[in-house]
Amino acid sequence: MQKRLSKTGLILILPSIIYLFFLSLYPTIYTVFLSSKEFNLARPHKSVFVGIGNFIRLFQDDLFRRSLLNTLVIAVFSIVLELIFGYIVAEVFDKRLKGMEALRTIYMLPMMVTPVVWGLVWVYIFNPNFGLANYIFEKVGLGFQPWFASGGTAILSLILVNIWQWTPFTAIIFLAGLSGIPNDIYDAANVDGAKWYQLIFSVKLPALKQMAMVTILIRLMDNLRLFDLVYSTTQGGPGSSTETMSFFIYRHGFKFFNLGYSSTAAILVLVFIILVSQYLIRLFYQGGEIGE
Amino acid sequence: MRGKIILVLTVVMILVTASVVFAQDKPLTGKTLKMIMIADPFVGAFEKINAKFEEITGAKVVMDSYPYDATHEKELISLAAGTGDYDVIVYDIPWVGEFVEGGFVEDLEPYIAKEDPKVMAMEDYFPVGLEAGKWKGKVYGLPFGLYFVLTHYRKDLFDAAGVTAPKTLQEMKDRAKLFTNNPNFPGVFGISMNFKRGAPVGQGWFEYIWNFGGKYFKGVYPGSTTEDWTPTFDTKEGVDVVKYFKEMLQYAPPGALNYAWDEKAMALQQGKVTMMSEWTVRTPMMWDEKLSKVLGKIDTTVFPAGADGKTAPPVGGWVMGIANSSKSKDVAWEFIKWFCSPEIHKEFCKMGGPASRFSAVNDPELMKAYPWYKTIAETAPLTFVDCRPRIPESFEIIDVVGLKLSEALQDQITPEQAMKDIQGYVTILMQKGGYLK
Repeated sequence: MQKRLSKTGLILILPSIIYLFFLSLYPTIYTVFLSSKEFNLARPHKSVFVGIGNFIRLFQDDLFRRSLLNTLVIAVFSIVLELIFGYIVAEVFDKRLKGMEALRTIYMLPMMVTPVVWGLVWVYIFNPNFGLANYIFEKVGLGFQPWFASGGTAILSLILVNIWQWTPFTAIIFLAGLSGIPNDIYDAANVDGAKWYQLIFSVKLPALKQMAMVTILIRLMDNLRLFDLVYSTTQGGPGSSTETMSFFIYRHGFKFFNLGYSSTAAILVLVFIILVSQYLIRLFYQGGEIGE
Repeated sequence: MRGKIILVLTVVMILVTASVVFAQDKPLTGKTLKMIMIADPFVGAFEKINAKFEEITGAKVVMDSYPYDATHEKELISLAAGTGDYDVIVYDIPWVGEFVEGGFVEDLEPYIAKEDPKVMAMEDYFPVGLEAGKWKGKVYGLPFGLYFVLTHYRKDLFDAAGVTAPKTLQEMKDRAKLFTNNPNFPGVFGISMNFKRGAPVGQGWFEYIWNFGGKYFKGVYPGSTTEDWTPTFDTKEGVDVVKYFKEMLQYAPPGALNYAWDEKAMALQQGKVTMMSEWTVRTPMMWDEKLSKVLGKIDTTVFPAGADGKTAPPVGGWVMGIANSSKSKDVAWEFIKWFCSPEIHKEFCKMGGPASRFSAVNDPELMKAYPWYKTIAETAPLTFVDCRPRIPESFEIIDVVGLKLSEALQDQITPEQAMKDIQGYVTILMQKGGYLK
């Protein structure tokens, strides 16, 4: 009986195994293989084995280091601000006011559209000469801003678009969390004479902690492989001010077709994401236990 | 009744005969031709001429067009995969070496040999264009879309200020400075240039290096007889170009760090700047009756020379070839032969396409309609085919130059450091490519 069951089980999971093998495992193994070669798609006959040569080159590559830094800056600022704004928005939506449901749906819209499309829209909004952003800024006396057209403001503009698009995601998760807090707890807090800030810091935020951690993890992985927004707006520029790790991989892989070198960077990014997320998962798990 | 039957039969006979004749008139009926190109302003002209080809031959033409970098990406992936997605490939002159060495495009010599020389009229192309479509002496692309960089300027404002068109790089800088923040000329800036990271500013460097008296490889220069691929980017001249760009950035409109070809041309078309040096494919934008705010106010002149008076104005543009993986090479050749013929080329020019043949640039009708043709005729003999590299590594070299220049333009690094970094990068690239021992 036991044997038959496992056989049936095997047959049932076989499609998934085949799928994972061809679409996940095989490409990953092939990427590792490519990383040991100097391989250009336009000149495949000239490919040579270089061992760890690509890794050495990558560690010495200023642009890669810069892309790592940029990615981390974008990730940290985006996530922190998304959490803060997401919580505020969730609080507003949690008040069951008239028309709030329609507003909630509208607010979720940015998340529903692919980042490439929003990128193109924001390129127009941020156009220094005829964009809406500068029109408004000049009307209210804030003056001209270069937005994507200057190294300093380009990364801030990217973070702004990123936050604008993904705050609804944190908001919706926090809203679910807030709705899940039993009324008894609020009643108990009121009886104890809790102030509004005590309600936030001692009741609501602890209840949202687990959700916040999941959100951080998801958004961190999203941000570490941020590509589409950069591709459709700044293309890593001006200079290297908005070069992200994924854009770095794309540039070497699909502009120059140096698949060996770009595979090397891809592997490093993969390892980095795995390490960071594993570390965070452990941290959160321990935190959870202590909390309990 | 019998009469009616005869009438019906006669009509049917006529229709059948007509359809046979019709089909013979359209020899490519049922065939589809797929082509890929850049989304430059000549796309509109292509659409009209392709419709004509469809009408004459019965073939269906499907055309895809993309921005600059994406064109390279899509073409290379499709050609390397060998899936036969495209029959006619329209590719940039700097990519010729890469596409030929990769075995992606057909040698056109056997096709040309079979045709009537009068139809091909090879001697009618600008020699530099013909050379641009060749690799190791063989023709791989016909230069239907040859671009030259001309200096475009606001004649009305130049006259009002009492200055002439810039003849030297120094004069160009002086004019740019004169018109920037000048209370006599409110609302305009001196110049628009390609400052955007990547190919836009990268190609810009190559456009200016010759007139600064520099070069990018030791043995690559007009009239060179040696083959020496030692990079010469970090020379005084190379750094001078970067410094020149930095100075010119002050005389460009705010946000110019993100200017590529289209933004640059639009700034002049919308009356925001007084000058730009730009490829002839965007010159018709200034004469566009619907969109141009500077209609009748623009004149063109030859790209400014260096301090010693020597000049090699930039030449570029697109050649048309057949994909090696194409499954309809005969249809592709029929199209190329027809499209590039002097008659159709004139039609193409009439619709705003760039003049690439002597017969077009000297055509009285076209010369009258397009006043800048005189500047093309002056420019063409001065040009140098390898003003930008055409070797397989070109795309990467130009992009790296574009990255480092962009970093220098916004003070991330110094101009000297930028050229030093480029020199280092290109040296390794050339060593790997087997050019350097």
